[in-house]
Amino acid sequence: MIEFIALICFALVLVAMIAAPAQSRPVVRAESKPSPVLTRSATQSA
Amino acid sequence: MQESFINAGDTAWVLVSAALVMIMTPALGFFYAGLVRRENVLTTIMHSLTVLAIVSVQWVLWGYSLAFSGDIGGVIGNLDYFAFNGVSNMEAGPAAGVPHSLWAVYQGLFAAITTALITGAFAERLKFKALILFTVLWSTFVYSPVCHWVWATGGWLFDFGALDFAGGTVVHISSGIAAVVAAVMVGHRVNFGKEEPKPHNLTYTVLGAAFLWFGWFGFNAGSAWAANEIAANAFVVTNVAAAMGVLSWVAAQWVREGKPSVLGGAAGAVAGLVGITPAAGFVNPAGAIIIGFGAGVLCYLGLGIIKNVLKVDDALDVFAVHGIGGIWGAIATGFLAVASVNGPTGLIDGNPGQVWTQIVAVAAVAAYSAVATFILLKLIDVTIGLRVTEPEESVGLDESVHGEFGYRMAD
Repeated sequence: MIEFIALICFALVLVAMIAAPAQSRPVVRAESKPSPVLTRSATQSA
Repeated sequence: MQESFINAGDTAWVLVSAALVMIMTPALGFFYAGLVRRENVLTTIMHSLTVLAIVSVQWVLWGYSLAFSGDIGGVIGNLDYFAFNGVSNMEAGPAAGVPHSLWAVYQGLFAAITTALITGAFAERLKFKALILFTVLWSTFVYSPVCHWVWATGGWLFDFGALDFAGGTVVHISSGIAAVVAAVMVGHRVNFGKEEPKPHNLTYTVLGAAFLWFGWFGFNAGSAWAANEIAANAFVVTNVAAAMGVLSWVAAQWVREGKPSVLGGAAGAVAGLVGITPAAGFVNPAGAIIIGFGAGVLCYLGLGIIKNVLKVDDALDVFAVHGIGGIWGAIATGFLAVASVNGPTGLIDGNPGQVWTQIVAVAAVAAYSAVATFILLKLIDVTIGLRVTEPEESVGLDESVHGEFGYRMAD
C-alpha cells in the first residue's frame, strides 16, 4: 500500500515535469558585459 | 586492566556526525547569503557564524544542563551539568558506548543550527547587538526547554509518546514558528512589496544546500547515536526524501510558474530534509518518498501564501520551509511509522493514536515557541531595539554594521 503511494508520488512529479508548460517568458539574449571590478582585476594581474 | 565502556564504531560515528552537523551552520550561512542583496552577503554569513559561536559556549555553560540534566516538572532540566560538570569523557551518557561529553557536544550543534535558522526571517535589517542578545535568550528560554520536553528522560512530550527522531519539533517547528513571529515583530524590509527581492548569488545558495544535504546525514543518521541498522535506515530515507523534495518542489513550481528554477531545487532539497527529520528513525524508504513529496509541494505552496497573501516578510522563507516542512514531517510520522524500522508504529501499522500524539506535540511546541519568541523580542525591542536605521538598511549591513564589502576584490 505505502509502496504503491510512493510510486504514484514519483510518477506524478515525473509526469508533471514532462507535461509542464513551455517557457512562459520569452528568452532574451542579454549582452555580455564583464564586471568592471573583475575587468580591472584581470588587467592588473595581466 | 579495566574494560573500556566505549564502543569504537559507535563513538567514531557520533564523532563524524557531530562534525557533519557543525558544517551545517556555516552551510546555512551560504544558503541564506546567496538569497540576499549583495550588500548584505557578509552580514548574513556572519549571523550564522555568530550564532554557532555563542550557542557553542552557552550550551557548555548552561544550555545542555537545562535541556538534559535532571527534570523539573517535565518542562526543564536543572543546573547540575553547569559548565559540563559531570559530563565526562570517561563514562557514557544517554548513548551507551559513547562518551557523555561527545554526545553533549553533538546535541549542542543541534542547538546552534536551530537558532541560526531563525536568522533568515529578519535578514537584512536586524541590529547585530539584537542578534547577539536574541541568540542567548532564545537558545536558553526556547530551545533548551523544548529539547527537554521532547528528548530528555522525564520531559512531558517524551513521556506522552511523541516521536521526533532528529528534530522535527525541537529544531524545525520551534525555529520556523519563531521565524514568522520575528518577521512580523521586526517588520518588513524597506522595499518589501515595492520590488521583488532578487537573490544576488544563487550559486552560494546551491553550495549551501549541498552542504546542508551532506551534513544532514550526520543530523539524522547520527541521531541513532550508534553505527547500527537504525542509522542505516535514517541515512537511506534522508537521501531519498531530499531527492523527492527537489523533484516535487520543482514540478509544482514548473506547473504553476512555467519555469523549473534552481532556487526551487535547492529549497526543495531542504524541504525534503526538514520533512524527513522527525521520521528518519521510524519510516521506511517508501514512507520517506511520500514525506519528501509532501514537503516539496506543501512548502512551495505555503511560501506563496506567506509572501503574497499574508504579506509577511519572512525574508528567506524560514517558516515556509522549516515551519511547514516540520509540521508536515511530524504529523506524517504519526501516519507512516512502521514497527519494522525501530519499533514505534503509526496509523498504517495499526496505531492511529500516534497521529493525535504528534498533533499535540506540534501544537504545544508551536504555541510555546510563538509566545516565548514574542516576549523575548519585545524585551529586546524596548531595551536595545531590533532594527537598524533606514539609511543603514539602504546602504547594506555589510558596510554600515561591519565595515566590510563582500565583493571588493580589487581597488
